[in-house]
Amino acid sequence: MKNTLAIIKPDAMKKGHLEDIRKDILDNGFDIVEEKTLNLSNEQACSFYDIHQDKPFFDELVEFMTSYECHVMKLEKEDAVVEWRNLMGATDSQKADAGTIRQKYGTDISMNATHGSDSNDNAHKEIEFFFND
Amino acid sequence: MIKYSLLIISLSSTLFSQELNDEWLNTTLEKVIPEIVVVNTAEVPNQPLEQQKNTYFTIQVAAKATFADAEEVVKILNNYNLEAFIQKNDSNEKLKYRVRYGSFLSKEDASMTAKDIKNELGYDCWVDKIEL
Repeated sequence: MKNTLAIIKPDAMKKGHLEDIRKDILDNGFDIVEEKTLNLSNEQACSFYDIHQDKPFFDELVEFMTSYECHVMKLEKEDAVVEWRNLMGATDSQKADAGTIRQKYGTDISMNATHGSDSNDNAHKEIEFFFND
Repeated sequence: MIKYSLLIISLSSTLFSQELNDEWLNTTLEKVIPEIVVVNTAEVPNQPLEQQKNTYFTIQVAAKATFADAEEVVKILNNYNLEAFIQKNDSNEKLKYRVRYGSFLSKEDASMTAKDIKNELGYDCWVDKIEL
């Protein structure tokens, strides 16, 4: 699959890293097909992270994702899901490899700067969720 | 009678030339001293109320470290009759001032203008869709 969904999360947006992360994305050969800046509503965040509803961190995750604006992008590149996950680095920013986006702009496992779809199926669903018009 | 006519002609020509001068002055002032609008992140100045609550598209033309550099870009855009504004992005010292232009209702219009700006002025601009 050529597309994946990327989100610049509130922590990175708050720190003003929108341009830095966009540059990293473009420098690594992705095309940004669509993008937008939005404040996620509680309902949107709950629905988007529906799969985590039973997890103990769910409420905290929703609170964090609605705390400030996000920048959502539909990325295009060959093998986009894997390539974007490689560029982001490990989920925990503390453990992410040097030079990855999460290592550069994230703080820890929850405030980790970016989101990426974890499979082609989810990429399709997540892109539909944000860019269905 | 002739004297009276000459007086009228002279008076009206003075008034006419004054009007022209004022017009020229206003135009010149607008061009030389453009108003630089600075807003906080995600705000767009002079936006109609219906757009403030919904969705619009704006063009990010550049992001600069200093106000002076951002102001320079705004002035260049103003010379092309594009009333750009500066958004303060306080938390990133390297890219503290975003220069943006417009609040478009359609993505096509925004993209077309962004393409024109890129072609004419060389700025690597992009269109951001804002959903509030």
